[in-house]
Amino acid sequence: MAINRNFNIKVSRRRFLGRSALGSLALGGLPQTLNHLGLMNAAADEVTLTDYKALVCVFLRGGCDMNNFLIPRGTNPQANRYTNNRGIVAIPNGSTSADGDDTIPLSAHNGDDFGFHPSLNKMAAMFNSGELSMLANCGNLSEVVTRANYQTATLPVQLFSHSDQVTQWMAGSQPDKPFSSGWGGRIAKNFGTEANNLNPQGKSSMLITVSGTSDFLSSPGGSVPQYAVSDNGAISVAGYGANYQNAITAANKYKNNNNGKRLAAFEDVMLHRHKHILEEGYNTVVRRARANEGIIGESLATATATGVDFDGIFPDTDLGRELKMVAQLIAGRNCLGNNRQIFFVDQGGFDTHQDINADLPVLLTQLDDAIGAFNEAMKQLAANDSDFDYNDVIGFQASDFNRTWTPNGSSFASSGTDHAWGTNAFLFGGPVNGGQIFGNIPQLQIGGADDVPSGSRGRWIPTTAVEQYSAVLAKWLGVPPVDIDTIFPNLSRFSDPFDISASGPNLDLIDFLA
Amino acid sequence: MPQQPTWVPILKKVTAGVIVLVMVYGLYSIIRPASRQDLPQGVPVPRKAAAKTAALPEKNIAPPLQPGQTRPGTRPGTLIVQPFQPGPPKEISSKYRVPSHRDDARITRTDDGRLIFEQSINLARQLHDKDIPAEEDIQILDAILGYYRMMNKSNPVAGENFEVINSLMGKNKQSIVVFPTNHPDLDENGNLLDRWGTPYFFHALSATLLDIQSAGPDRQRGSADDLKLGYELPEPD
Repeated sequence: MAINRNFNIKVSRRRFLGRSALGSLALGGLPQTLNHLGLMNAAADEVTLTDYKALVCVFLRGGCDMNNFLIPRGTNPQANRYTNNRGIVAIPNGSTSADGDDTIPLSAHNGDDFGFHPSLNKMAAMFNSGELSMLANCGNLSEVVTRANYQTATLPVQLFSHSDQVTQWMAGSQPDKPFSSGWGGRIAKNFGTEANNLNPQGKSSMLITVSGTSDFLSSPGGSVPQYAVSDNGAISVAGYGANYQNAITAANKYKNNNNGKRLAAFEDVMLHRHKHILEEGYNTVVRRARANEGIIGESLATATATGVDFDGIFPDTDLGRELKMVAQLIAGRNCLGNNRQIFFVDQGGFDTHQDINADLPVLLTQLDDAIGAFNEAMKQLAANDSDFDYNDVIGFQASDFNRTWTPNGSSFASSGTDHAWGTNAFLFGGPVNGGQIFGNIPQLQIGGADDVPSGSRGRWIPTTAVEQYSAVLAKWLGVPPVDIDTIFPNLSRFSDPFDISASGPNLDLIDFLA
Repeated sequence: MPQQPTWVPILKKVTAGVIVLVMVYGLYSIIRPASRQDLPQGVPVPRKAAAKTAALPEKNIAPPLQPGQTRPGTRPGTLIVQPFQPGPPKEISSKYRVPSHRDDARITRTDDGRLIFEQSINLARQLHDKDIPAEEDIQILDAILGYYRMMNKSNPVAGENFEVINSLMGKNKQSIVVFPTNHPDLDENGNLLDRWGTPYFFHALSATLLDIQSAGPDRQRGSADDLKLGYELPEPD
């Protein structure tokens, strides 16, 4: 639906609003100072953020087969079970039953031998150098579930369903309630209150997604908008050329042509206030989006000025480009003005019901390259920018669920694995207590203590709830302890994630003093 | 002097009496206790009259309804519904009451409490009929799942074939049976096999989207001859 046929603007109102009431943000190439354009905020003075933290969520869509990510190998008591049960989809792991060893050895976990999938060279190096850790057997839970109480416990709604499990992960679980907000969005709202505002100089949203609308960044009632950034260019108003080059001069003035006049008129129209709530709401979205284009443009220019070769570091893959954008925005954080920032990126394709032996290595290679590049970029940024520290950023991974322990066929070429439950997750960054496997390694056995009692494919009942995992990350970001239960209302149903004693849930994921 | 007729004095007396009565009655009308109808609005009834109109004994008066609650109305066949909005309860006719599945003529209740959905059972018996094309097997299953969703509001929560079929055979909250327990194409583990003897794959996309896939004649999942409905989740915006 055109806004005004005379302007010939090909942007649908529904689609524009449907981008979660976002700002569409321009990327590099925009004029740095946009004072002359009616809707663009004047490029405000940069602030110097001395206390900065960023959380980066890497979501693997489809349910990554984490049984082939973290692999018991060699002398591990479960190594033979892995080989025998995983059958045609097993990675040779050096067990007595295996034919060779293709895994990448990790530093021993409590004496047990584990390795990564052979595609994860960079991440294995990060693990062994203390920059990355794993969390075992985590998943959505309404309450503590065991094999004994499985038939009577309240299970997550629509367990094994993609969209429901994704939504529950992003909500910080609470699977017994309808989705209302993501836990990232709730943190942003929490920080926006007068009492807890840790972004007093913020010029842009605390919530930035490079992967389209994200439930993780959905705030209660839309109170804090999430901003979408494209990884390959601005989602600009169409009809004015790339980066408005047909309408704006190099001196940042409207061109004296039809495009320039139309853009000027369009922005004048957007400045009008409306009594009708929907009309005003639409215009507010546009005004906000256009106002942020300049801010983001400056941020990216600042990133370039740091001297970090982002283009050279990051691979040209979907996830690589998304994480590159995140890294650049972190480098240009002073323009965004937020002391606390939450980013969201994702990688799809992990629903490997078929062809897992062909597809998973490719996916994990892309993941490995992108994560390794991001880690390297953070190190280089810390070296080039005296106001930035490698300890300022944590990346954490999530996914719909794990996949079945056993394959669904006997063909090497076409077999795959199906939906399961408890999964492994990784987190990385300076503050992470790296080189460890936290949580509880499940008994990897069909019909074993951690297997769902119904079924015969090996689906692990989580021993760590998503709430517990997320609460640790939220606390690091700066959520006051008194507000943790507000962000994660079901947290009290599980053991205290901050109890790092020997009797605790083994979630000492982060060095809070780093 | 002519004499007065004899009735004149009598008439005078009667007339005087009537006048007196009228005067007395008028005086009484003024000073008598007022009835409820004569009083203007808001004026309290004098104590004597009020005693006659004292409130009925407070027995059998139901507590006020909470928003959303119902109770039978005073007239047979009616229901009083307290709406969620502020305001007095409304009476609605029972003909507008939405029937439950227990009123549904298509459902048979068994002695053990199961609810058999006959239409769906009959549809399931057409599965794998040699007179219908293989593609229709998937569509029949989709329709059966549709019956299930109609009664249970969402798909079976299941990760494997036999778990889905168990749910369709009555292992669900409503104990609705939409698939026959003695179907000839169930294997010993309770999996529903396609017409080539391979278990169907049920791909849970969401609470209301369940894709159904058959491995096809070559009995290999993921090959070109697979049959599937083709439901997919939309990509995020």
